[in-house]
Amino acid sequence: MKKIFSFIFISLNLIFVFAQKGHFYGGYEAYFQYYQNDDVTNITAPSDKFRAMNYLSANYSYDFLKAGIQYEAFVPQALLGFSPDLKGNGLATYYVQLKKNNWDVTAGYFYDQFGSGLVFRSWEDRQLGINNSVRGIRVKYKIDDIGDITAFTGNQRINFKLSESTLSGINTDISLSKLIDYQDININAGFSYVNRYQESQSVNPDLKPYVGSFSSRLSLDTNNFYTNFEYVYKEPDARASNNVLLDQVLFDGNAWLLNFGYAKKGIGFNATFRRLENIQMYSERLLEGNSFNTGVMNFIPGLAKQHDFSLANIYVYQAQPGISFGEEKVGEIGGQADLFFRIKRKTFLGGKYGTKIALNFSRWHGLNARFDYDKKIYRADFAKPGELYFQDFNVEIRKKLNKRTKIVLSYIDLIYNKLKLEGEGETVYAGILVGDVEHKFANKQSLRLELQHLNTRQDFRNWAAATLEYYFSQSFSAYATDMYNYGNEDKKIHYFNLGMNYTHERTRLGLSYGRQRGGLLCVGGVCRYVPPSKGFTVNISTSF
Amino acid sequence: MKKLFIISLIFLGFYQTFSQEIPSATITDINGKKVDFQDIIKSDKPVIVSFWATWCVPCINELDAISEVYPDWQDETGVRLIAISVDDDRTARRIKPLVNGKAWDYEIYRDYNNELRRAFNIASVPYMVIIKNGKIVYTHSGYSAGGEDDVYEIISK
Repeated sequence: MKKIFSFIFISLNLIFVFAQKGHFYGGYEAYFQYYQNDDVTNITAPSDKFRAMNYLSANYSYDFLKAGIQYEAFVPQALLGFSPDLKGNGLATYYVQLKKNNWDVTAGYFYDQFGSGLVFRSWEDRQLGINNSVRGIRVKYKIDDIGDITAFTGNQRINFKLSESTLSGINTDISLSKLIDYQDININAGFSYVNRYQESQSVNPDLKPYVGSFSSRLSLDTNNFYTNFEYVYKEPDARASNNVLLDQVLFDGNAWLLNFGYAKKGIGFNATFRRLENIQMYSERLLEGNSFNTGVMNFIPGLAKQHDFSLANIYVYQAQPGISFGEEKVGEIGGQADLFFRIKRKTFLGGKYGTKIALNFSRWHGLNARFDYDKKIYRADFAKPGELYFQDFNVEIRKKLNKRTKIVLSYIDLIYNKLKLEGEGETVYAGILVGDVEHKFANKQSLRLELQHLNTRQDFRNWAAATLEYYFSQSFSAYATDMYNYGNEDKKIHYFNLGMNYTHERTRLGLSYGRQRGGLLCVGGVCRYVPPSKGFTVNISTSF
Repeated sequence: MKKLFIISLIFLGFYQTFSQEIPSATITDINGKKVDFQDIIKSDKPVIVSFWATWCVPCINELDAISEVYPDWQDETGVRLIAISVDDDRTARRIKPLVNGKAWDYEIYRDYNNELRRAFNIASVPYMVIIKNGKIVYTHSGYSAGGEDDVYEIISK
């Protein structure tokens, strides 16, 4: 530990010297939580009642050189719902990057994404506790206007350690229209290969230490119409469940993604279809299916609308890419469509300011598969959908009523197969209505009121929710919010929260106190489970 | 813990000596073409850089509010608004239809794996940066109704 401190100290001093010439920047972000016992929900606070997560990053850039470190401190450990291995403190990541002419070389920890991320993505999401950056060497070369090529090798970050496997990858994206000098349609092609090398003690001779995945992509773009397609194949590999290697039968995997859309001023449409079969990838085999997203190598978001309203985030779809013989699941098939348009101003429906409308529909099924439990094999149909997992139809209307008042109305109709998606419970059919009004006063202060209702006969039944937020200025606001599970026959619980936000230039401070509903917290289609809790929260972020 | 405290103090000391500059980062335009952030913001007129996401309600509120007065702002100040989406691949397909469906006249880009977001150390969106003569003159995180009036004051100064 001492070494790390002196390292940071020396680096900071060096940075100070260098800062006279180049430029220095960074940021600090922290989450503090104090947990309390709660008699209403019968929740006992954990033994470490006070917890803090701190992230400090410092970077220096001068001409073609860039270098940086990230220091993380989980005191004494991460918040509830994060990996228990996130505890203590240390230098988490560091890098040196050289960018000159067409070259870009990084040594140390780096983040990258190939294609849509289905074959490889390393990224950081502090709310989810994900930092799966790779420590190694990455080289990028830009082929003038035609495209680029990337190659890397390294080990993945697993909390404060590194994966025992080595990951290597190569990616290229090429503009075919530039290559053949054809300007009417913009045509791009991409190809990636990612390899994981991990020794294993398996008795199965077919299980190789090298497992590769391939992605091929093609996209076409005209002025208004666009489409893209991606196919991913993963070589046969053992599976794992609850830290046990399942290696008698090896399974390969694949993913198909087709997307197309049409957009011109005033209207936009997009549709996506996707089929996944055994396509989850982890940097260590035994990490498969862990609930903290530790060691994920690729990005498989649930493709349904990401709602911003609390009651719409009780039943959230998570992608189903894996095999489970016990639950009779081998993947998913389905799609999503969006339509955005505006009704022009000074028409009957448009009113004085016009009206903006967004429609969204998504529907996801399991793959239709037959299982042979003796041989531990299965066969899945390509296009025939199996059991319904999830459906969401929603509409959102935005309207400015007058110079000072704006409203958003939204209705969501959803079907959620709780048994298949969470392993227990019945299918939930729910309707959610949301109204959001924002009013601006003459003195620059403003008020926001949000009302929500969720209607269902299943699971925890009906909910109502309200948020009242008052902005004293552009930099200071206070809010009160409550989610009330009034339909629940066992316990009608208020999940209330009181809080305030203060922002000044690049600094933001948030304070809140309240009761947290347990459930999935999802960011960008990736979710983690957050247990119910009660207590104080402080969030600080600043950059310099 | 004590050392951590001392280091934090040293760090805060440094804080005063540094001013934020415009970082270089690879982002993509609406058709997926890679460009460098430093190249697209070059202008002798004010440039508003707004970080947003398709799923972020206050971001959309802010960009909707500005879109109503944007033609006037452009006439008066020559301002450009660059709207950079931080959507990842889950929701990125919604950018093009949304922007068109709302008939926004902004220059639209996407920070496809958060390189620019990390360079600016942005914890949450909406996040706005105003650049004048190659210098950052204003930064604000969050949006509430009327925020566009403050922005107008800065760009018209």
